[in-house]
Amino acid sequence: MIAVTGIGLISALGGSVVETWKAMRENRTGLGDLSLFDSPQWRHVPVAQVREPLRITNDRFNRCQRLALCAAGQAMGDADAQVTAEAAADRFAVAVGTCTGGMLESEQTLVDFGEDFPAHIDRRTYQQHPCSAVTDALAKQWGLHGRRATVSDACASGGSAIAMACDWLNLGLADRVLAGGVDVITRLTLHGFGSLMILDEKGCRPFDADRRGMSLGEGAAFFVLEREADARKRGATIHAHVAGWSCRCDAHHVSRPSGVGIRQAMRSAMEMARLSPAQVDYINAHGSGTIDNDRVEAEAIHEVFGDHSVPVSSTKHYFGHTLGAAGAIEAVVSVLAIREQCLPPNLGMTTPDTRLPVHLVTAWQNTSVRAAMSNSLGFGGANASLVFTRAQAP
Amino acid sequence: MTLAPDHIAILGYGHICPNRQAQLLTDDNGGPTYLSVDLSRIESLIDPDLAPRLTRAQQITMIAASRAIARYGHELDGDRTGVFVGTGLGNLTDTLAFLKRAVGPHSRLASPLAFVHSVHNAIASQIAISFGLAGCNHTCTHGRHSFAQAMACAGIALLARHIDHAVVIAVDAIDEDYLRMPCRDRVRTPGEGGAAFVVARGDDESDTSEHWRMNPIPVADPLATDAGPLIDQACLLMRHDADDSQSCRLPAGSRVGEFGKSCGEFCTVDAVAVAMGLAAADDLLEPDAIDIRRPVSDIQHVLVYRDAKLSPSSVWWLQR
Repeated sequence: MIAVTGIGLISALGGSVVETWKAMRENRTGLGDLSLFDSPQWRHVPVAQVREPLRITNDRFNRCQRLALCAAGQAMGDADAQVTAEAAADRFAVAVGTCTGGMLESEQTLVDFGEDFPAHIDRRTYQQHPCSAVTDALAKQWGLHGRRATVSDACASGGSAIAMACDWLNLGLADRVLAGGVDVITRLTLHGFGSLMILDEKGCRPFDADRRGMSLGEGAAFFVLEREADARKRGATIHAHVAGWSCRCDAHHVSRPSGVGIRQAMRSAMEMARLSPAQVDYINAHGSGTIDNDRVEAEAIHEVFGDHSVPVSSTKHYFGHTLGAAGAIEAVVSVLAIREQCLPPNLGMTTPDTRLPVHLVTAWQNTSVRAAMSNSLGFGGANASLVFTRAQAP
Repeated sequence: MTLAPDHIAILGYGHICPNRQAQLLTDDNGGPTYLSVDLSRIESLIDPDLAPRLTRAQQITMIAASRAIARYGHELDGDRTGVFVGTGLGNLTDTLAFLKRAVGPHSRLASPLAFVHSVHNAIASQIAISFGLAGCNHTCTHGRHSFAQAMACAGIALLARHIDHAVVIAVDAIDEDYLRMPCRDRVRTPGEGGAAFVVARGDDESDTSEHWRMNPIPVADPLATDAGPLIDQACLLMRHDADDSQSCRLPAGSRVGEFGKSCGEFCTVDAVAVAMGLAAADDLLEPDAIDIRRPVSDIQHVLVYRDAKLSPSSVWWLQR
């Protein structure tokens, strides 16, 4: 069993897990105006931008790295997971899911210099552009010399990175893993999803009958993960267990989900967790707010869970769609749902789409949550499903 | 000396790279020179309807994957086969093409398809779609370690029994804007290429008797250990250039091939060198494809050196 011993989060709702959870309980949305860069064409579209000052004293990092360092720092502190004799540096691994890396800063050079931009890319921007610069920054910050992976599986990246980390621990390839996801709002993603005509001018409304699309967001979330026996041995607080995980591909279309992959991922993750559908108390859905995604995911949930009326909510109206960070942020929400024994609602949904065969959470619900599932769906038919369970008393 | 027990079996391999006759090209602005893959006959190599809709990196990938799967020669179980792509640059050209439109005065003309192609995993997903591979599908991007990460991820997914087979691919395509960046490494001639491998768990070889074995991560140089060489049988040493193997002591009967002249330099060139080395050792490489003394049919080990002088843990070791 894999234990979650550290949690860190930065989002448009706040700079920490506590602030973010408090804002969620107050049903506040992170959606608002974009101020990161000027975008006349998409000025009217709300985004969930992190407005918190990034408390990183070293200004050599780009925004993506800074967000990751903020969240990862919280997770490392929460787990009291400094490199120690018990968790030697070469057994402490890092797995990061991200799509944008240093794109925001590279774009600025293109804006400033037009077609001649390559000649003006400075060394720091060049070196920090790759997604892997985030992973390397985290490893360097805490002197972690174990295995590293930078996973770029579109919007499933965060879920994929956590799943990969769990495999490392299960196979004994690492003793602790700092695992999560991060992404920033960029011109590429804003214009890109805009060109696909799937940005909702009113802000995303997952599973709403009148939903029109998604809202972009940014943020980062990280876990410190370790084997349960190791965590117990050192007396660490266990927030929850990662009991099952699975990644599957639709093998169907580059941008349109088929539902086949997420169905199989949910089934495999539950099988690994040795849970039946009736034993899952909550699903944090990918629920991006697009017409296709929400329909396909709801139908997949219905097919897997049958008549078990498992409560489902998407938290995208709180955080926006944070792309590579989404799977990790929503994994944190799933762990908090278990820890706090309550379920967040589908904020932004005013008229539930009754054609969708799932039980949608409409208001905060205090209930027994023994197991929660977090789904991520991405371009390319990438799917990840994670199952978290309540930690037992030692 | 044999490989570690968690080795994986390579059941099929394929690659594409600039060949030795490739001329050094320059970009449209008379800028830096580079070695380029010849894709002029792409329609004869992959589905002619699909080819024009793919990015350059996807085209290279499709060719390499088609060759690897054909060489494997058996049908892959789509539900139990994963796809793992390592790439340094991804679809950079398409990303930049989209961005130039998006932030320019004609932003409404930015193509949605170009955006979809800009996503790193567009390469892996195209392979999954084209070959019906629905197992886990991951894209690892970590500069020069991208192939190593993809191969390691595949090895771990196999060991964890999430899948029974994996198609591991490494690819990087030339981008002319990238060539114009003053900070990139200018020591070696830039190149491009792709390689693909059908792999399985080393202990699960029921479907084939002929295969190569490898550790799923690069190893410390087995020819340059303090205790003496770990290999005493003839090997094929693939090196980027002569600088890459100064300290090694080759067993009798060994051969040396240099892939730098054929491939140039790019993030995932080590993957292409591995595939070329296997093809050479299996005597499947055209005689003029690489600078190597023949015959090579008695070769039992293939070693691929890339910057071995800089990093002692950067050697790929494959055993027949």
